[in-house]
Amino acid sequence: MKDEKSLFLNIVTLLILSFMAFYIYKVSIDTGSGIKITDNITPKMRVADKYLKKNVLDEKSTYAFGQTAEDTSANIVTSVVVDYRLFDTTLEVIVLFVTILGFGFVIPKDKRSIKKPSVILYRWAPILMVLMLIIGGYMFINGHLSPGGGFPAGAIISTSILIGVLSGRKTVKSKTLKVIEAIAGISIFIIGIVSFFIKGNFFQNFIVGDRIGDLFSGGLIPVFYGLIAFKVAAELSNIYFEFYEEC
Amino acid sequence: MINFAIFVAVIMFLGAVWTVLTKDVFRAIVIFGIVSLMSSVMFLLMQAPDVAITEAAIGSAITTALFIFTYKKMEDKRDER
Amino acid sequence: MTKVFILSSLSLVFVGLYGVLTRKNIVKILIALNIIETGINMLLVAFGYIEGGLTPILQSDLSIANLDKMVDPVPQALVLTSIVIGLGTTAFALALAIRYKNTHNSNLITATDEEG
Repeated sequence: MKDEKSLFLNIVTLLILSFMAFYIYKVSIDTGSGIKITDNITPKMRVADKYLKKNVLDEKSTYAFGQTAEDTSANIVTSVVVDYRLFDTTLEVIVLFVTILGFGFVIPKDKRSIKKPSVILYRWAPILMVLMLIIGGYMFINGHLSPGGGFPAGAIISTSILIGVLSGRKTVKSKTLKVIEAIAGISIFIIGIVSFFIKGNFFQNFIVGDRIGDLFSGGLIPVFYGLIAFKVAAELSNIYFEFYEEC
Repeated sequence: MINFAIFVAVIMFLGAVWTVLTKDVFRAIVIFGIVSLMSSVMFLLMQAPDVAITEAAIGSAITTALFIFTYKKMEDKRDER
Repeated sequence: MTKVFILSSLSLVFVGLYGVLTRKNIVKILIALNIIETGINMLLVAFGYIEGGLTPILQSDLSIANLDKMVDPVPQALVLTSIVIGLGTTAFALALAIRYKNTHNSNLITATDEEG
């Protein structure tokens, strides 16, 4: 603890860090001939021509709200995550799986047992859990229309399991979680292979969408987001069961 | 709007400094939760509602819960000694 | 607006870096690493921000007429996955910290084997 208060070291660290911070700020604000990061540049200067021509920014494209487009998801971030970059997302879920696996190997196996909580928490926990499940389901079903998506939906569903753990209620067994996670992870790749045989590309959206703004206009997007949500929820819930005993 | 952004940014910066400088680990964990929540507000001001929801659910809630679990587990060991 | 965002995220990054460099408690180092991660995510999203930009969600005909004024959605999509990966690596690091505490019987990174 004594080194933590060494004045000289702290001052030297502060000086070096503030100099670096000033330099990076200067570079990122600079509008001269160097790096231009934060200018007011249009998307046409940032995005490749190939995507812009097949997308909505072309002058000839007749694109209006309530009609069909190339991929009919109103939320553009969802469109980027699921339609254009689903490889990133699936590999990222696999990275999450590997880290949780390492977590289970490394952590010591002395689990804490839950004391019985107060009556209020014990009685209100099922109501809160049902509310959390409803919000999570809404998130991944409506992911292509409103902000949300698979990852926060999985986190919210796992939060409901966390409430169950903390209130001493019996929710799910950890073996059930492993089965859910395996089924979700396999079916993502099965859908990818099916879309390869139907459309010719891995992970391509093979259900033709409808009007923008409808509930069932996203094609495969709610399916993929639901699978991702259940996989993330099962993986995160495994962490809580590593810390606390199941009742 | 820019005044609100500056207000949130100042709260976030002071919270980060307090988190780093305080000696109590439990207090540092809770204030880190506040910093994460304020960063979620900043994401909302940057017109990124998807990231804001994800940050509020994962970065603010679950990370804080994990840190508190770990803290409790470390404290148990100290009691045995 | 852009300057406020970039300044606040950079300040978070460097406060976290200061914490990593000078603290000795292992849990506090992990908290400082999380602060750095939050700051980097904010910096990535701030690079895609346009002054007076719109949310990248198609809500009505008005938002389709102003597609040029939307903020960049690609950094948001990348940050969305980056936050989840950050949670996984944080959990793994916390498990390593618990194992460290069990073997060395101390929270500090200067602990030696003789204490345990």
